Amino acid sequence: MRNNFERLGDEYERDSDEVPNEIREDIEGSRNIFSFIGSITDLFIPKLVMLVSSLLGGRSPEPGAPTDDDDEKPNKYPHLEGK
Amino acid sequence: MNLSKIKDLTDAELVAFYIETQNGIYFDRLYEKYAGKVFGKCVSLLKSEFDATDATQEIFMKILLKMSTFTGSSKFSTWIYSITYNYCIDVIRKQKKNQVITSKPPEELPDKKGDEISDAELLEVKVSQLKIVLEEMNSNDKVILLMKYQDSMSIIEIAQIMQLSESAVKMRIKRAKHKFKETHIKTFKQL
Repeated sequence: MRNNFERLGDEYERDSDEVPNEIREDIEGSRNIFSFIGSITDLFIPKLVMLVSSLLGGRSPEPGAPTDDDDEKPNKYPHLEGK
Repeated sequence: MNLSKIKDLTDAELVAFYIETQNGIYFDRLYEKYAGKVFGKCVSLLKSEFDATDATQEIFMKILLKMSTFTGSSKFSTWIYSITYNYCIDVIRKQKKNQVITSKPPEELPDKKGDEISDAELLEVKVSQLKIVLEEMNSNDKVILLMKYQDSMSIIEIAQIMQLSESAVKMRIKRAKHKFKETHIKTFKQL
C-alpha cells in the first residue's frame, strides 16, 4: 500500500503540466550528435592507428591471419540471451 | 524488437540493451517512464515550471552520459532520483547564494534526545496537509524527508547522495521530522 508521501509524489506528477516537448527534442538532438561522433570515431580511429603504426615501421596483418575479432568473446549480458 | 516487447522489459534490461546497441528506442522508453516523475519532483523542489524544464533536460542529459556507469547495485529509479535530487540541491544552493540575505538565518534546532518522532506519526498526515507543511519547510529538510519516505531510500543511499556520513543523515532526518511536526502544529492547530 502506498503511503501519503508517495501519494503526494503521484499528485505532483499529475499536477505538473505535461513534460514540455522541447526537453525530448533537445535530448534527441544531443543523442544524435553523440551517435554521429561515435560513428566517426569508430570509422577513422582504427585507420589512424594503422597509419601511425605503418609510419613507425609496423607491418599490416597478412591476409587470412587470425585477428582479435576471431576470438570468441563472452556475452556481456548472458541473462538477456533469448530476449 | 517491437514496441510491445520493449514495454515488457525491465529497467535494467533497457539500460543493458541501450549500452549494447546505442539504439534510441530503449532510451526513449526510459524517458517515457521517468520524465513525468523527474519533472514533478523538479517542480515540487524548485517551485517553478520554467526552472523545472531546464532541470529535467539537464538531468536526462546526465543520465544519457552516465548510463554506462549504472552498475545495477541499486534500483534504476533510485539512481535516477539521486541524480535528480543532487541536481536540484545544487540549483537551490546557487539560488540561495544569489539571494540578498534580508531575513535572519534559520535557527539550528537543538538536539532533542529521547524525543523521537515515529514514522507512523508522519505517514498518517493527510496528503493535502503534507503538501502545505512541506512547502513551508526549508529545502534541505524537505529533500531528506522525500528521499526517505517518498522514494524509500536507505540511509546509506541518502548519505551517498548528500555526501554526508550515515550518522549525519540520521541526525538530519531526526531534525527534519521535528521541524515537520513543529510546522504541522503551527499551521493546523491554529485553524
